[in-house]
Amino acid sequence: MFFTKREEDMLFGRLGKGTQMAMDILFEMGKIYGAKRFIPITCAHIGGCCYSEALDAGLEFAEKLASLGAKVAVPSTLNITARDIENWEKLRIPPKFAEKSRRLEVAYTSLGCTPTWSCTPCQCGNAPHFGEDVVWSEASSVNFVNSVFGARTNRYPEIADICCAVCGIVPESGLHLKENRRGRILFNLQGFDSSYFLDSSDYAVLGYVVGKLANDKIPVINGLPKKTNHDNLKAFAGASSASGREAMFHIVGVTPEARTEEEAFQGRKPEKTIEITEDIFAKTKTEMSSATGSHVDLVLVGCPHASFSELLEVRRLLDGKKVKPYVRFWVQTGGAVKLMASRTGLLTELLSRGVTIVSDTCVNTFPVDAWGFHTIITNSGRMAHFAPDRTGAGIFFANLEACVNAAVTGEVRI
Amino acid sequence: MKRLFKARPVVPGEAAGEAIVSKLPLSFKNNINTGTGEITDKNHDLYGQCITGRALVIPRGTGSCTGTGTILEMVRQNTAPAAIICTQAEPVTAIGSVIAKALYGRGIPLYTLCTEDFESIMPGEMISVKEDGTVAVGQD
Repeated sequence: MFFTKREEDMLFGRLGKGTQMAMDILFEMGKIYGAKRFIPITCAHIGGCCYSEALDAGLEFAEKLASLGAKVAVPSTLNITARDIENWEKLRIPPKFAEKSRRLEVAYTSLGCTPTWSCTPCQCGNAPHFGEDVVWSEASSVNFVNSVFGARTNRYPEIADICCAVCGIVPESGLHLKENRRGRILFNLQGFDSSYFLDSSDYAVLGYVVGKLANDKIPVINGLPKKTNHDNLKAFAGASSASGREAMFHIVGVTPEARTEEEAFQGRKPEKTIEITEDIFAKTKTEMSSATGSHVDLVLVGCPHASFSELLEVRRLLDGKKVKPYVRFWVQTGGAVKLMASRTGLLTELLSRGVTIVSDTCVNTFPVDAWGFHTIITNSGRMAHFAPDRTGAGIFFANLEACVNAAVTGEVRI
Repeated sequence: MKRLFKARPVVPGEAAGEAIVSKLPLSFKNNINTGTGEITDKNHDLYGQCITGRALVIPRGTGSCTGTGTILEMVRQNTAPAAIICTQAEPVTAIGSVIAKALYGRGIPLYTLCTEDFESIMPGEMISVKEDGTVAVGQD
């Protein structure tokens, strides 16, 4: 492997012990990835800061790195933590667990990271340009930043991400190289009229089936409306990186490396072509719900974290209505979006209608046993995939309107 | 009879243990009790078995980027396998082991074998690995 003078300095500890520890790990990581050299990165999104995933060992690592004086070399946002920092007690999170989470938060912020606590860093100002090499962790945000922004990252394992951020470099491999970003499998949409893809939940269903069928091979989707928005693409990215191991997708005419189908495949032929019909779409949608009956305990929106416009949409659908007292309606988002909602009065309005804003975290990462949820309804394909295992509850998948109706009536009708 | 294989030492180290074998990839995240080393994934054919101190023979690791935490935590609690033998070194598992070495001074040696050698390993066989990539399987 080739080393620059600065990399050599880091390796020999001339830039501090913390940086040396990170660089030692990167050196091994470079060998694992089969890289010939390291490349500079412009920013990072760090995933190792959630206690329920990092565990005590991850906490010990972060505290050690911080105690050795390491600091990030590039702007680095933080993914979710394992509690709502202000309202963890209201979420019935055990104090011992919250304390471990707090320690991990302190360690990562003292490393110089930005306390965004969100799985949608692009909503908190971490929005790299086309072609920038970055280091992203957390699968749905990796999928989003590669595909929608055209920035370049692999799905980095936690802790490897913070080591890269501290050194400001990453081994050159995988999706950092243009040729590896080409599409492999073509998905043609067949027979969808204009009533489809108006709602982000349709993007979640499509993402779910594409992720499952493509697994880790980059899919190219042909036939989606050219006009779309970040919320739709976020729903797609979240679902496809949950049902499969997808780190990148192309939508012809929408994402920047797929202005044409030919460009998406970089002039090569697809390895496989799969037709997606209304029938496959409907079957997938049914498959995403595991619950039966009409009872619901929890309405869950904001996976990945809700944007400001999604909060506005919740308010519109709740206009003149109230959430049933025995139903919980949790909307998950990051602190930046919550602050904006608070400044416009939107937050007070949502709260008065019976909504709980769950900030900084996600129901899949903190203990919810104390709530005894049996049934959850969500408009997120990602949540539909993970929540049954993580929370033990049955899941209904539906669009946002059906979710809000369930919150208001206390009954699921989909 | 003892067989000697040449493996790629992805994370080198000396170790020995009894083989625990599956043809299925294993996701570490949420599928292992880090306190006991027991596999808790009901859909896996190794469900209920303990990997602590054994040579884990699986085609590859799989699953979320957060699997590194699980690997690291197993090393911290001394419930990790003695070694991992696979056909494909997937970064989450390999890097988890590298970080464990940096933090606790002990990683999980990880070696990749060609498919033919990999498939010849039977459950319960003794496996020892050496830093130079030699994987010895079976008794003398």
